[in-house]
Amino acid sequence: MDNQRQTGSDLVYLVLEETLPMIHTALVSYYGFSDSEAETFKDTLAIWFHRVGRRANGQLPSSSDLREQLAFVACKYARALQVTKTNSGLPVETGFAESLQTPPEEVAFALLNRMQLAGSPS
Amino acid sequence: MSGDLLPFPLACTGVSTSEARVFADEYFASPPENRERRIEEFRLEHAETLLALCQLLDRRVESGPAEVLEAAKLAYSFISHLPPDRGSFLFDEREYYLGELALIAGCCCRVLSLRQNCREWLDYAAGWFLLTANSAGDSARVSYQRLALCMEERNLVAVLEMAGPILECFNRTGARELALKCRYVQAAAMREAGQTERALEAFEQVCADARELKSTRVLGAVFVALGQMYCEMGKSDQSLRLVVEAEPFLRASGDKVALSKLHWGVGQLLQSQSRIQDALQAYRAAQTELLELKMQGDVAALHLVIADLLLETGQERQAEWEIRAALPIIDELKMVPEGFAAMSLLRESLRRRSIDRGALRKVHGYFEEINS
Repeated sequence: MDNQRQTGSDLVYLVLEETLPMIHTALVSYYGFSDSEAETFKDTLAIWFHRVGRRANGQLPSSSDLREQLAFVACKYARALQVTKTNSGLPVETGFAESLQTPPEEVAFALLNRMQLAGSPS
Repeated sequence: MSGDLLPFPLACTGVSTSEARVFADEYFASPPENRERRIEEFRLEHAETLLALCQLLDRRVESGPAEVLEAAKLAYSFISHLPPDRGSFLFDEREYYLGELALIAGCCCRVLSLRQNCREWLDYAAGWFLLTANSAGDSARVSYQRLALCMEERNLVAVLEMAGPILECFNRTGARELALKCRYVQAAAMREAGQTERALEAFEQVCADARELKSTRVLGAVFVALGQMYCEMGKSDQSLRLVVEAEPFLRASGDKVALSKLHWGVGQLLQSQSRIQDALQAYRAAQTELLELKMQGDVAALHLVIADLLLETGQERQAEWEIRAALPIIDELKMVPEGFAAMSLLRESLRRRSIDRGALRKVHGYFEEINS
């Protein structure tokens, strides 16, 4: 379905539906969030993303641009939260400490590539 | 990224979408002298309210740029001084709304001929947008405002250089209305460069596309430009037809800026038909409307246009008064850096009480070419 036939709200829902499961996986398995933390983070992300969808005054970017924005913000802030945890002395599992060295853009692009390989809509 | 303290992002749903619209409406409707005192009542610390406010302000630029500027400046100041523990901003929202408010303020300053202020606000907008997650589209919107500012300053080389990449960016991202605005500025640059036929063709295409897209904002501006061009090219019938179509359209859409410029164009049309008194009346009506909109630069330009017409009818003294009314505004707004020589000649001729019409035409010609 292209943007012409969708309302902005439809497009936002569609992008969220496609992208959030992959983001959940990245939060838990890459950034070391607990399941409940990941759920809360995703809820917040969804609220933010609905507002992003309404920023554009009816001129929404393409679904691929929106997906990219969602994945990038998720990775950027997930990493920032874990960095904060580490710096304030809270425990972060050793395996995950290393993942914080990777730039969030790289993680987001890897995530989007995996989505494409998994046969998600272009 | 630094390891600064970052709270876990928890969505605060303190303000619903419909409540946010009410707060935004109340904020804008509040008299400016009370707005600052009551600012805590409008819940601007909520992203939902700011979203509604930015949308409201953006819609109102053409119906009252000075009011929108005041409202945007105060909201910007409030948000930028908000303590970190206040506000319900998620992720990049604080930076985004600061950028958006600065962009709206910059756009208003441009319409109001406050060019130095415009540049400053656009710099602030660019800075805030760089801190957001997906800054390319928003940065391109800042670039468009800079392009339009270059056009108003008659920097045609910069306009023709900048327009291509910005237009390409909007085309690639599917931002059709912004692409149309860019094409409008390109057409205006062609017109000023003396490529009249090309400019006319480009404006007509922009007009057709704006109708298809139902872009009232672009249509308003392009109606004014086309009306003037038809008039200048001696196509009075086409110019009149356009005015007849545009007038009710602009009234309905609330585009007071374009409406006042359309009335300015009516004056030009009447002048081209040698209906001097009617033309004077139309110019004065347009000037009153521009004054209400606080568009001082355009008010000054019309003083000079009226002075020229008065000279044509042998009313030297009245013409002198018109010029004397325009000069302080031109000085204050630093409006004609390129027309400095003509301005000096005009001043000197005023001092001698024998107006140099060539100098006058050079100065007001500068305004007329950019007034659309």
